[in-house]
Amino acid sequence: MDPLEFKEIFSRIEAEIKEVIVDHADIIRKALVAFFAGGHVLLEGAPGLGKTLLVKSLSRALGLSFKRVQFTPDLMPADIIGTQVLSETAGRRDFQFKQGPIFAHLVLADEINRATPKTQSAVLEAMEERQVTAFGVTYPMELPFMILATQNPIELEGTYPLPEAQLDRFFFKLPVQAPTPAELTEILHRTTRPDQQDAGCVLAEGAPAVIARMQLLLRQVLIAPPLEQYVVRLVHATQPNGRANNGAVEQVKNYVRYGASPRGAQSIILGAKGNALVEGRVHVSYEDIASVVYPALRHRVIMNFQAEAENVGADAILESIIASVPRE
Amino acid sequence: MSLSAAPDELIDSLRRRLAAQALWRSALFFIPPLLAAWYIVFFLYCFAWLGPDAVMATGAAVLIAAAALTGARFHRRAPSRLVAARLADEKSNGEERFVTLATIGDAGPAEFISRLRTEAAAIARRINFRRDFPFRGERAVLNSLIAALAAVIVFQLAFEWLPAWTPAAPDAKLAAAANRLAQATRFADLAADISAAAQKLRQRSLAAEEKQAIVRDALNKIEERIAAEKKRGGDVASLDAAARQINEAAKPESPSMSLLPLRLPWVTRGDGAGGGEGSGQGDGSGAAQKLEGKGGGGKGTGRSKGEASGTKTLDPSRQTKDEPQFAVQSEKRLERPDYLRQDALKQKDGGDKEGRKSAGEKNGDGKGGDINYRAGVNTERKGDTEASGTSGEKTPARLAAPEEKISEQLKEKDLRYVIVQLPEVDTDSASGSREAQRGKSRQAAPSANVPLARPDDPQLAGEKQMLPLEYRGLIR
Repeated sequence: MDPLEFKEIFSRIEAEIKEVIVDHADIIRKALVAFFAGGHVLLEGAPGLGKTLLVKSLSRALGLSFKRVQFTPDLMPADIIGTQVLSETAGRRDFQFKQGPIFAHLVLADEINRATPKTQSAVLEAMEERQVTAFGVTYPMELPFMILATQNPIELEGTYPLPEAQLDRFFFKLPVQAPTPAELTEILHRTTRPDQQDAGCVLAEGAPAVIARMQLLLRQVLIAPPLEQYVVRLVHATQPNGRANNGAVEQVKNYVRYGASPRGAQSIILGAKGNALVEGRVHVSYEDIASVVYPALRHRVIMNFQAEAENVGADAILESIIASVPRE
Repeated sequence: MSLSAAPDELIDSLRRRLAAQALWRSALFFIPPLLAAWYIVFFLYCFAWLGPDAVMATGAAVLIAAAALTGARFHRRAPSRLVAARLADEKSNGEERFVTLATIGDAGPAEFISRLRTEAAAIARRINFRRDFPFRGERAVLNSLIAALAAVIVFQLAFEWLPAWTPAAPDAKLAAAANRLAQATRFADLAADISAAAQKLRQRSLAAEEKQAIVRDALNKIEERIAAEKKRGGDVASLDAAARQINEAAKPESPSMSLLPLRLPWVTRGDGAGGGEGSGQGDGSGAAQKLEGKGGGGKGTGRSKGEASGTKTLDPSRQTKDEPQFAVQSEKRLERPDYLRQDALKQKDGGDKEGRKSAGEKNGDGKGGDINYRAGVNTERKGDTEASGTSGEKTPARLAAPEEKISEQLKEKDLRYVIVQLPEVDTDSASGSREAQRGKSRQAAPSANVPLARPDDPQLAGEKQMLPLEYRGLIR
């Protein structure tokens, strides 16, 4: 796989999705970068903003299998990962494992915060280990595997906020904003016509193999040690009481309960590499890092009660951190 | 810089260029202070304040210090390869291509590095060293230049104005002394000599040794004149004052003279020990020797053995084993002219007390010694009083030796005397009236032509008989 080929395929996929999704170009690109980096994405936005459509379009464009799970309070883990059913084969009755919806390349976990923690945790192993253990048997997931979860920031009654351990497993958290009037007009034009257009398939044949090569290429992108150190400083600056973090930003000390984990730094580096490839470069620049800091860290910086009371968000904290951490 | 240069070469060239610029900036930062220091040293050399050796040593030390500081400053500011790469990226909008190339080494796919190098080489063509990295002076260099100029100006002004600030300037002192002497016609010739010496001192091109010699000559002339006048019995007050003035000019605290390595013996002896010795001058023996032109012996006589003073004093061969030290000290004291005694008497009390203590220890049991010692103390006190300006009386030169007759040469005014009337055993005093007792005590008070010690001086407890309270009733 050549960097130019990567860029070409990526651009085609991006273009196909943009045929369906109005605007949200940044979200589309970040979701694709996360996919080629091997991560999962948490989409947060109000209902009706095209989250599900985005995931569907993505699966179509990539030519991968797609499953959707609507998370509800009564959803059980077996409903996701699968269960054993009694089946009769050639006159012999036997328990067979029936795979759940998680066994797909792309899984949409819609309104994931409405399921109980027990059910939420059922996807943890699949997200990190790319495998599922049921009834003592481990079943590997088919690669590429990506979970795109959505959560609704309103109607929080009866919801179960995702625990930090699960949040940390998401590569990016992308907020889906409401469309502008012009975008809304375009949405109306596209969705109220009789000939609704779906995203075309870019990688029809041998998609998993191509995607695997693209994922490998992304990890080979060069990054200079000073830039790695910059990422380390950024992540370290999110720690309010980290070791030797005497120079923590005042806002971090006041509003942050827990800082970003090492997964945050990994996400920044891989995301920056993906961004560099998309930009046609084989090395990471500071701009690549800056473009992925917010989606990679905003869900990993856990705010305290004072921050919630004063309506201080993680993005504001990250903004002050980026401003205070020197690049050199 | 060649346009086709490889990015690695460009980074190295840029680093060398930046290093040279940093070295120049560091050197420029320290060159003005170096030149200023050299100027001051050379200036001091030109006006004979420093010798050639000192100039060479100081100049070399300043040069070495400047070189070391320049090296240290350069070491801190020398650009690394990474800094050069960053600057190259910054100037060429290289998006960290040069930084990556400078730091990544061979860690990465070869085709990626090759491609990155190709891209960087294309971008390197945009860089023009002269245009993008010209030599720029620092604000610190300008500050250094200003500070060095200010230091030179301040030094120059201070050098010009310092003599006016300090009344102890040697030429001014000598001129003032000459003016004082010129008021008396009989000292006109001496005044002219000293005035000429003052004129000579004003020449800054004089070497330090020459200045010393001039001051020493002036002092010697006055000393000789004092001795001559004393022999004739004339008034030497104005001569003493003039000599004191010149002596003050030679003091080390005088800023203009402090740089001169003066070798005047009495100037270097104004420490606490000197004060202690000075307290013993009142015994008169040293002064007597001064008058008689003899040295040695000093006050060791009559003190260690309690014998009559004067016999051993005048015979150095009869000194005891403790006496040589005294003899040396006495010689030193005897070198001092009279006008210097007051200086010595102004020394610390501790020194005085030490002197007294040592003198008392050496005095022994002899009565004469006691009296001598006390007289010495009293003389000091008078000296103190004179120095403070409360009395203008002149202290007689020495005490009369026991059984010494007053002759024509030794007039009464030249001898110190103390009349002590020992209390008589008076049986009536126990039952006498208060008036009678007061009369007795008044009669018993010692009289002298030298100031006596205060009766409450704890050092002189023998003069005061404390009466225990329990005996008062018995006496009454």
